[in-house]
Amino acid sequence: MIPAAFEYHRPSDIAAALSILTEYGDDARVIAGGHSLVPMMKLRMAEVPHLIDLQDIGTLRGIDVGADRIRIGAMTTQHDLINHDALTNAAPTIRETALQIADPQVRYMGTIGGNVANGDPGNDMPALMQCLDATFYLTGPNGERTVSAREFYFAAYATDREDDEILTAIEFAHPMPGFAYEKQKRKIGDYATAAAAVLIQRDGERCTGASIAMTNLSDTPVFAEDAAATLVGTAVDSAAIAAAIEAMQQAIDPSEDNRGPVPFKRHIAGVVLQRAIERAWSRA
Amino acid sequence: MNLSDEIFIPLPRDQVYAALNDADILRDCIPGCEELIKHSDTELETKLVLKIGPVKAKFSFDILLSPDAPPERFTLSGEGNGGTAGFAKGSATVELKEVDGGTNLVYEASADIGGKLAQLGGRLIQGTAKLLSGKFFKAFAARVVPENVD
Amino acid sequence: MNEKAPLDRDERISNLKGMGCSRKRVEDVRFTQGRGNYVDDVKLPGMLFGDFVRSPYAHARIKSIDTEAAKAIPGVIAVLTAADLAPLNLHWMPTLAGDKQMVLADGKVLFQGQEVAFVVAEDRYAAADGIEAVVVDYEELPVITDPFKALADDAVVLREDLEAGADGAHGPRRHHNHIFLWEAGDKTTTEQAIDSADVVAEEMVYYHRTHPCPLETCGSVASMDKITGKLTLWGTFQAPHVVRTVASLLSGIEEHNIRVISPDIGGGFGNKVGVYPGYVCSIVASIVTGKPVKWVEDRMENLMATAFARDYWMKGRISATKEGKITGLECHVTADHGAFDACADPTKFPAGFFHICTGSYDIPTAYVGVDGVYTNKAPGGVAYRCSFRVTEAAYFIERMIEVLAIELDMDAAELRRINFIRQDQFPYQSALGWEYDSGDYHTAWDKAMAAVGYDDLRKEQAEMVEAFKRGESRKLLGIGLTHFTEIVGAGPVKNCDILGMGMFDSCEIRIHPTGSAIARLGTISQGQGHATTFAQILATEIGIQADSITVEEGDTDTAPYGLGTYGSRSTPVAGAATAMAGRKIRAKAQMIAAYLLEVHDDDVEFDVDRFVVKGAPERFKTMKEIAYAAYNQAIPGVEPGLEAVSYYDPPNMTYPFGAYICVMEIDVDTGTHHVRQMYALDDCGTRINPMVIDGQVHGGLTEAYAIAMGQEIAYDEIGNCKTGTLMDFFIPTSFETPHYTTDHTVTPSPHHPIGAKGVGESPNVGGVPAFSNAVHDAFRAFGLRQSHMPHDQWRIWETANKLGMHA
Repeated sequence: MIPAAFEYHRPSDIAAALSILTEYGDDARVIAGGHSLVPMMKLRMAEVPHLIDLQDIGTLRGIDVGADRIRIGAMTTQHDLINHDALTNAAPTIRETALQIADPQVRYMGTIGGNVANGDPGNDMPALMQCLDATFYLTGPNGERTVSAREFYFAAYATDREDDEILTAIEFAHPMPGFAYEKQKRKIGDYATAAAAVLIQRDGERCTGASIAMTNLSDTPVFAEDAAATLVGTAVDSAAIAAAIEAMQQAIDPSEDNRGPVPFKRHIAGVVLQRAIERAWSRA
Repeated sequence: MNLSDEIFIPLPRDQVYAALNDADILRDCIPGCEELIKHSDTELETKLVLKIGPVKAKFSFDILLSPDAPPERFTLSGEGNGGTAGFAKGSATVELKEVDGGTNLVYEASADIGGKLAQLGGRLIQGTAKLLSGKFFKAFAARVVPENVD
Repeated sequence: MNEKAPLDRDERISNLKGMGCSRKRVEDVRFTQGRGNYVDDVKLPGMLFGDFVRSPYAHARIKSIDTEAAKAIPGVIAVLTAADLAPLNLHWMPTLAGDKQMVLADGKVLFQGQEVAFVVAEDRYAAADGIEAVVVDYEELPVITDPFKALADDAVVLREDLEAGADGAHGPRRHHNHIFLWEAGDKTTTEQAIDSADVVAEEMVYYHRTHPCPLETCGSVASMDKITGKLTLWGTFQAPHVVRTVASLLSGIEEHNIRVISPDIGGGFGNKVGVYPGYVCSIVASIVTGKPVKWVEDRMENLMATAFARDYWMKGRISATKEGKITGLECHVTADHGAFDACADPTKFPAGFFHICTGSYDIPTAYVGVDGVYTNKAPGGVAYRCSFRVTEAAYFIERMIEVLAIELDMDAAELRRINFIRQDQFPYQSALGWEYDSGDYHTAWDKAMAAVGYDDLRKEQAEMVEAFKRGESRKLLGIGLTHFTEIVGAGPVKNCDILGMGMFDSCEIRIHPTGSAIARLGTISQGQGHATTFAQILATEIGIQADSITVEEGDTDTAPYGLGTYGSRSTPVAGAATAMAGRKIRAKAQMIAAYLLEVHDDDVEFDVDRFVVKGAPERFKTMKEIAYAAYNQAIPGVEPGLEAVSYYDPPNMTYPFGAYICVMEIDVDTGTHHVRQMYALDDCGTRINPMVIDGQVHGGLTEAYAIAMGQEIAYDEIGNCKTGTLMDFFIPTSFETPHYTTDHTVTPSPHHPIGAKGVGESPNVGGVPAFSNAVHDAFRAFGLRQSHMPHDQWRIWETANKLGMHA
């Protein structure tokens, strides 16, 4: 657990960070909370000759709950998300999800930006961001651009972010009222065996809108568009839920690991989705 | 870990086969390939940098080609040494089928990884292998069918 | 005397903080303030750091090792390989089990993580850089991770160093990957009893491979002083004196010139009993460089390479009359020892005390055979918080009882009750050769049954099964029963030794002139609280307050020779030595008191903290007064001073026992569980410190919970260790850890000076079957007989799936 030697950079604004990133190219990486990258460096699986710490860049922090949209700076920690009352009022699913990430020590350091930009299929926020239809803000040498969370993930650690870009913020509209993030894991601190993010809108006994995304059931988060569509217009009864689960099963592609074999993961995916839909429906 | 896929290449089978045996083309298309030496028609040596997110591992691979029924079918097997990161070994069977307008390349591969790479990255290997093979064939198609590139 | 009102007798007893007192642990003052002193806290001027190049392969030939690039790295001082150690004959070392083990890979590697080269550098960073620069050329060989496949005729030869067909340390080897066959009991009689029985239950019970995973990993600091010729070795040693002797035998340095120090140890659980290549390499590197050399492994190295536990495939048959009276027990074990036989067992017992596997039951005839087998896995086979292979034995018999209950269609609690050894049968001679010292199993069992409300639980369980069958619920209730009998306190020198060293233990006491004391022991605490509890034994024995007694362990230059701490042996053996040494002090104190009081020796008697004249309680001398006189007053016929030493060779083992019951809810759909209740009744004989006992039981139960419900060392087919980090190796956090209810009965050991039996390992021994039986019991109504541990989510799900419960 001894890393190779590296240079530590601590810029105080985005421009400075970008210039270091441009200067060192593939030899440089930005670090947010560091809870994925630093262990890999200490295990000598990742060699980062130039580490760019973003924590002094004040503009990357903060939560802005606007009238239409909610914007969260990339360096906002999970702990900050959990304890932000206005955010919890507007989008309680953020708090419910953040509380299921790792443990309190990690949540003091871990950031939402790091969680979504990392591209590890085990991260929880990416599926939630897809469920919320969030937009990611990326800044690079050619300025700022946006990309939808639903278009961002290609494969494990492969995302739409270019090596010389920094993810600066995420933004999403006020979500549907019914929400749930249901996660099964082996123990505190573990990645999900399977997890489901669900948002539901209801009008009386009819579902008028739904969004579903799944965590750690493929090499990317899985936005299960068809599964959500099966719920809309139904009374979210057991037949509708079964249809949604069936549609979700078509979208996921879990692989075997120490959490269990593929049939188990598929089964758990069904269980967590059912529970998430039921809870979200009851809250809608 | 097992991987299989079918890729259409709009070229005659002989040309596809030749391209797959062309060291220059392989060097250009294998993701992270830094060096590829053809010791003989059946023996290749390559050095590549495997880059998955923050993880970078340098591997040297020895590859053995067995053209049991060229150009319809050949097998290859390889062993790679990644130093303290671990090792990889695997084999693949590649079939080239003549179809309308080109060739269907069908492959079935199996691979094992060992050492720290397997211990720490086991859960990500399947997805990564899929990504890398996708990258290879995308690059291969682009390289051998230049009119495809626009 | 002083002016204050004299203390009454109860106050004097309470001030002693002697046996039976829940005295707070004196160690915690420093541990809770970050002031412990562990091996990694040892920092010496000019100290160098060593780190290992380890094999990524589980089985490979080493074609070459190129160290040139590593040696060129700034700060790297030396790179040692087997070729460098061979001239010193230190490239191999003996194991505690009579085998030998490579210190650094000699021609081939036999498990993933095996030590290949040792890089010595000025700091840890340079050492780690050096490791990356060592180029090793491997040629992969076929890998065997399954002990049954290892014994196939065409299996690859793992240990090419062993002469084909030659006997091993424990007799004939029948196959090139076979280590030993060890047997106990009467095979013929047992087979006859089982074959002619009304009912026979047969089952394969696997106790999976796991790891003690102490919070502090293993490490050492070796410092060879070339001027004095003295080697000082700090290390994570559960048996420092044994390490000194072994180090002397290996290195040729005379034993008086070796000083071994075990400083504070952050948990051992068996992992720190053996001798590791890191210790040897740090010593050699210090001799070569003339500077102190530190080696401390990281977590992955600890899990991959230092000693594992269990990995026993136990094929059993148990027979009974149709009324349920057990008539015979047979067990054949295929024991996976990994690449080298590095088990830490008393030398004559290559399968430890596995033959305690008749458990708490009066079984007329039994037979055990254990085949040790080599595989391409890490060596070890240590007693992870249990006496030698006792956890395996307890798990085996407690599973077999459950399976027999299914076969008999009987309640498993009742089956146990009618087969318990009765109180009037003690001392009890077991069919496999042990003499159980004392026990009262029925009383303990009845107390446990009543405490959990057993009959009501069974009713509730039946209702839940019905609700499940009606489709109203997806949850089941499991009631995990266990009555275990341990065998601890190794042990009598006549049959227990390690590498020829008898397993006695020792205590040396010096009373200071002002009436305080220091006691030194041959054991070493790794968190057990010896400094607290041994002072309490002494306080009661010699009448000096526990707070005025320092207990010191772990420095071989000062402590008397002992065999160390593991297998719950400290209290049964060193605790006895402490009491016996205390009694020698008391005997001399009696003479001094009699002289001071001007009466005959026989006319004074010991009373709490003083000697009083019989029949005249107002005439007395306190131990403080006696201590002062011992040093400052000429007493005819009595040497000055007040010191004693005792080496205690126990006449027998001790046999702690307990009744554990786990009540667990299981979600059939997710494979998750909730421990609703975990009741643990322990009988460890005389209780020295109830609070320390509670702490021991809580810790042991948590480890048992981990082992039963998720903790394992797993390998894939090419020998990758799949559980080398704490992401995958299960250590429960406060969220997962269940709540516990502890209880006790007291049945003193008749042969132990204070009647104590030892408790540190009981909760692991009893806890694992209790948790596992709860899982099995939940599915009993649906036809489950046996499903292997660990019962993590996917395996429970798979059990339910195989029983058709997801249809």
